Amino acid sequence: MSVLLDIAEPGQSLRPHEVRPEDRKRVVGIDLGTTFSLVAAVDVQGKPACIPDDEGRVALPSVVCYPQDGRILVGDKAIAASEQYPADTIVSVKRTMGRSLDDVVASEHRTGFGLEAGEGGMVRIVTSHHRVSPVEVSAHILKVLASRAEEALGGSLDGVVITVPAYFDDAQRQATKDAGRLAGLEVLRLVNEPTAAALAYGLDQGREGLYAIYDLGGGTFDISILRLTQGVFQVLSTGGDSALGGDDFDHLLCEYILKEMDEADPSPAVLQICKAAARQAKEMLSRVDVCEVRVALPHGEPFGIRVTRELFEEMIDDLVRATGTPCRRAMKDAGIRGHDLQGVVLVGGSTRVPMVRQYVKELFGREPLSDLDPDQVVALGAALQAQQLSGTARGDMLLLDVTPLSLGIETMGELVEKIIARNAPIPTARSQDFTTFKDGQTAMAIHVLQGERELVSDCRSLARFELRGIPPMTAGAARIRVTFQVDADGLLTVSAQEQTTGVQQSVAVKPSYGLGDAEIERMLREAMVHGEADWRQRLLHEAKVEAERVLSAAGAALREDADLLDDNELKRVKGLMLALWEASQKEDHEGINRARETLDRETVFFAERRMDRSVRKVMTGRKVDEFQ
Amino acid sequence: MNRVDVCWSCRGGVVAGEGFCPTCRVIQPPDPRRDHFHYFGLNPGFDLDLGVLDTVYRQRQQQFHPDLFVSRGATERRYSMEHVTRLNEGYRTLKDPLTRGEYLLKVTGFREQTPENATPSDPAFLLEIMEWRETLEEVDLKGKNAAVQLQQLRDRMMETCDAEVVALGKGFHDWFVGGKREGLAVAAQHTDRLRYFTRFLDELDRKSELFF
Repeated sequence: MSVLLDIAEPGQSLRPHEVRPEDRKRVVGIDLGTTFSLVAAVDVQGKPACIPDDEGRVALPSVVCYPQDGRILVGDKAIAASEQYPADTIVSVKRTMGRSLDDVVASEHRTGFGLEAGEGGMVRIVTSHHRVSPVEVSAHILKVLASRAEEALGGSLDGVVITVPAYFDDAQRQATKDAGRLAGLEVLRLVNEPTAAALAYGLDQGREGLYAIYDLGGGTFDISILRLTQGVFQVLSTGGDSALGGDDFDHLLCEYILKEMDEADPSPAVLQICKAAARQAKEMLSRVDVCEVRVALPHGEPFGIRVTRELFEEMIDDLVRATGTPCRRAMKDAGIRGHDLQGVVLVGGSTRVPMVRQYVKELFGREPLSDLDPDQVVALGAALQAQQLSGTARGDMLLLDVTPLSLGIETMGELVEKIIARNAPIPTARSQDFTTFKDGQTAMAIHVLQGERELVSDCRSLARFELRGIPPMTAGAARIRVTFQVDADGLLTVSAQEQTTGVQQSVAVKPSYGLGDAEIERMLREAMVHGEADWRQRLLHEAKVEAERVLSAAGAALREDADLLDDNELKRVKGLMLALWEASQKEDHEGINRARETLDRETVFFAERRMDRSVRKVMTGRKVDEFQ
Repeated sequence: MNRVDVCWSCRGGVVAGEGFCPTCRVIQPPDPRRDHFHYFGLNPGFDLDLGVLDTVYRQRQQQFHPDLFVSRGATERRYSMEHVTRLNEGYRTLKDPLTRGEYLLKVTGFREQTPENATPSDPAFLLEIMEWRETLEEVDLKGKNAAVQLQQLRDRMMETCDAEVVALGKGFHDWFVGGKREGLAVAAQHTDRLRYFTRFLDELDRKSELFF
């Protein structure tokens, strides 16, 4: 009967955030990058580290190759196969996540693989022999990282945190989360890359104050302004460009090389080789002032050309300066100036380019910090956040993030009425009332948009739905309340309700550019990694959590008010508690729930007596509010 | 007098709106009847210490944030979400002088809705706004001094806004401290002016972005 004694012992109840050693979970952070991806975990000492592959490499190139024989090659293996299968090798897939064909074509460079419009206009990738969605390609990358982590941690993963550029819109976030689900992963949270980087920095150094995180990666640029106070990482503002990165530098160099080679219409193979050469040249030019680019084509003369750093810097000058506007806007939104900052942190491989560093220095008027590896810092921060979310972290750190872009709906005259402003802390919910503009109008179309501009055509369309069944009234009499809700992942849900009748419609914003429900369902079925077993596991976990809460509540009630029960009643309550405790040690969620419901039902009389007592206490003036 | 509620989990007594049950320590739902000031534990009024607001905001986040309830049951997770949504809304409203002013006019019962007119009804003020607009239109965006001119105009407008904030603060002070109801009318007038000036600043900032 030691269990019951424990339960009734003061100070023995489980406090909300108490952790037992056996609760330690296998969770990791994943940086799903444009050019390469990493996975990191926190060790028993609480330090995050990237997990290497068999050959000691931590960075997995974000390249997937689909040869016709049906194999799926990821990372260095895909790069090795890319010369043989140039049209089946997918690079920089992140640039196409959650995008329509039009978006991608507008900003995209030449690729070896083809693109077409799929369901809802979203982009699909066409190889020499099949079609694949960006979400599937990303899922293949995630799977390789997950199995690497599972091997290192010795078992299946309980959850992952995946990072996304802060400036990713709803469609891009949704696509990333879908990729995680498709890879069979429990996505605990999407975290913004600069915020993750700040976490790694802040915790590493115990820093306080205002920081700017300048994150120029392979395909995206982000700027975030954060305030660090006693373990709280509060994002004040964020900005960026989700289609600007080191890839664009490579592209310019590649086009230059092609022009010098007189190649107007390169084959996928030639393009692949030139891109690789351009990338190498870019990396070399970060260290030396001039380099020799050699292109060895499969058929034909080898080609060589000298490129100076000066020429390279001339090429990329506009791109580098284009990062200035989001930075200034973010500082203005945060209500700060350059000299208010305690530091500027560089993140992302492209910040190795000396010209970028020089520009950041000019922009913020101070020498930027880069004491952590800019390639790894995002994954390290993600691992810390994953640990925090698994409920097993030691520190008291907390991330408070914001939504990067304003959210609104279309109103008369193709204008956008903003409902949630950019840089609003999340989670958040806001409502606005609208009305009908025609007599007898019974339906209202709701068009959800994201962006800063005033015209519908300048913003991204996220979803359309219709509220039907509005009772006929004169124009302007109906009150339709539209509520936007953004969760901690930055994902939006919109609902609309007619106030006088309560007619309601609600949609989780499955963006027009994301996967259709049918499509994701098909892919999930095909990839059936999560099955019945996982579902049962989840139900069991929920049942145990609830049982634990109810036992703790009952224990607390007995400590406080056991004198309200006679001996028989006390015995009965304790017996029911013991039964619940025993049930909760078994693996049957229905049994646990039955025992919990019995305890609930059979102790109603006790609850009522306690209620009377509490009310009397307050009536007689004893204050109950001195706690917390 | 605080209202008494019953803890949804252990059914002990709880003061309505308090965060956690004193008996079983489980999270309680936020009380919709509390206004933002009460929720943050601040005295209602226009003058508030933003440092205190920040501190309370952070402390509450550290108590209620959904990240801390990931492994708890569904009800606890929902209450955590409700608290933090509430907290973010209150923080946003109280932090900015304009939204704080508008909110105070609502909670004092002076007016339910913020007027949505595109142009002010007071002719003298309309003229004033038009003069500001003209000055803005006159800036030659292609000229080489455009950035400097916009900045100077912005600085002047900021001074004007600061004066409005002082004036509306005085109006609220007259009501909350002096008990003079006419203070609210003064506050409302200056809140409206501040709203038009803020709109003007937004426009100015959109133009300034050309020079970022």
